[in-house]
Amino acid sequence: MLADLFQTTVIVSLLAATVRIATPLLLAAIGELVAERSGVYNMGLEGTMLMGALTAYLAADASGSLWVGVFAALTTGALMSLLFAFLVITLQVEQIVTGLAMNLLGSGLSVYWLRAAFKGQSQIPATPIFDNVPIPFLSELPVIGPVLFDQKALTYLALLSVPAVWWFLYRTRPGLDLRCAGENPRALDIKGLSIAARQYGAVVFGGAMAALGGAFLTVASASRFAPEMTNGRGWLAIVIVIAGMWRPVPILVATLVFSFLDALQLQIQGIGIAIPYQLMLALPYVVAILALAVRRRHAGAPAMLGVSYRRE
Amino acid sequence: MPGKFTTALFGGLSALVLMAAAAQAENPTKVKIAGVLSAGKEAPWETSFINSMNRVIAARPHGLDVEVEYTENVYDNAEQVFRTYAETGEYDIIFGDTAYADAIEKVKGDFPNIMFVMSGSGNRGLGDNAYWVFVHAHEPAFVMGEMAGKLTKSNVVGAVSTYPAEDTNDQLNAFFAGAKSVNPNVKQKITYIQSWYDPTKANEATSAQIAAGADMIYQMSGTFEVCEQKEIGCFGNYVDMSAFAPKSVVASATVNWDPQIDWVIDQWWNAKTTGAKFDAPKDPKWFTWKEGSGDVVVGQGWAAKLPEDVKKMMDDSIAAIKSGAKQVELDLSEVKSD
Repeated sequence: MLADLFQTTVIVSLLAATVRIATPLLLAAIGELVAERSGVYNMGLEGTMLMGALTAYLAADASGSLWVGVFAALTTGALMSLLFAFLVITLQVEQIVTGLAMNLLGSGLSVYWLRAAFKGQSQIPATPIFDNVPIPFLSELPVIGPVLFDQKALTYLALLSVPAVWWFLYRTRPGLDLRCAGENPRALDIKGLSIAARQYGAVVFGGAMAALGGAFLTVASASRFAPEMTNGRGWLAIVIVIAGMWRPVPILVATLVFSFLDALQLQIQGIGIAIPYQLMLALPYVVAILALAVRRRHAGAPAMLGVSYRRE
Repeated sequence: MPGKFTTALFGGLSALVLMAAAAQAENPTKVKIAGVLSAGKEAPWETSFINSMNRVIAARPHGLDVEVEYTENVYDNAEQVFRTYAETGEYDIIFGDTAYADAIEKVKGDFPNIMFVMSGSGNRGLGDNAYWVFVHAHEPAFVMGEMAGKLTKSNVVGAVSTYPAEDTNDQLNAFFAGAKSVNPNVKQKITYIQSWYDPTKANEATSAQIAAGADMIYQMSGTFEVCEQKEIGCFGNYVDMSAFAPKSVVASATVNWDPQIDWVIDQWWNAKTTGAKFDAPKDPKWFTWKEGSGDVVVGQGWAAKLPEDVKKMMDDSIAAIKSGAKQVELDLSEVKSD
């Protein structure tokens, strides 16, 4: 039975599934990384993803174009996080509480909007989903081809966002300023640079990325929206940022590890190997807690994360 | 004196008229039902419930106007939802379509004149005004299993389900039993996605089963994108799924809640017209295929290409089960992969 797991077709299926499962998590986690680097905790990822999934579905259905759906999700994510940013940055409302409120908003509003959009219909329509975009030559490679180079466009985008965000944060002046807002906002303030402007930008970017992750579920995976279909992915993205110690590459690794464990438990069940798969489902969270416990204090978190800046 | 007599006469007469009117009023003309749904209306389980409710509304049992309001996505705060409905005083029956025993137990005593209903596994008999119904679609699932057993080329038959529970185990066990009854070489594979509705995860589970060799898969989580892509044979449940997946859905085991809802309304009617107290049985009430619990609906795309012998086997099997010549075992134990 265990030998069945090591057949090429099964391994390829397992790794390709890992990359697919990772896509929405990675988009949301990289977005949250930027927000948290600027000093703002956005706990509203789950609700933002859900709204992204809904608006992508509605816009794709209404326009007949999946890319319009993607654009709608980006806009929704940006608007939702703009509201969040106004509350926590301008009005300095407590960040965690506001984030939780955004989740409730996303959960309630998405179902209400769905009902309003298809009033009186017993079934909501199905939309098409994106096809895979095989990359010429590379997708022909054995194993690595189907795993990495025969995926959806949004998956490539998610993977490319890792080096892009790394480069921005660590190799550009605006990136340095943004991190400064999370580590030592007073330094920015003394130089006459706006902390709020940087935090707004970071939070809006993070929200748009989370909504894009949500959109992946409806434009690239399932053909219909379903209430609560994000199913905790937003929360997992937050855990991933912690497990990845607020750094882009470790976040990519953490996402892939979590996704691999999920793909593995599905494959193990599919083959019928008698290992309790619940154990594997719990493993990512155990790993995250261990990572935190081992690194002790903060474990790489920005020094002023979650603390509103007040001039003295 | 005559004045007094007339007054008495009129008084007596009007009392009689009033009593007659009261007797008339005892037979209700309207029943108001609150439907407490565990998930969104899109989830196939809820869709089948709502479709059945709509048929019952149209059929007007006992000449009643049946009026229904729904609340969706109730699971964690069920007690609050039941209590709020009850406190309005407007609802006669509060009908929950999943495991709400814990919530109902806390509420039912405060509202003895309201009928509470729970459904399926994860409940326990509470008696009094708490009624328990169960939907078993094991008989149609058995027939679909026979079809899968005949149609599979790899001899690997799979199923992607939500959680292990008695109202999924019944169908899964019957499905695999059906497949093995016509093809002893069949190996069964079962994957639980550990969520009532997560299409993305269900698709990944389907891909994993295909990689493990399955070419006939029972999709108990209502997700068919991968089935369509890979053009394997898939089976749906609760409602006819071929509208969403015309290429891949071989057949669906549809579920009718009509007998359960009718039974619930009958119990309510009896209590209201005789003035008796609600006295719910402690065991769940369920109905067989013969009694109208469901059906097998062949998918649009497969109807034309289904081999003759499979079609005949299906028809014979359905006839035998409905006539009682063939018994399908109701097996609620947890399913394991071979």
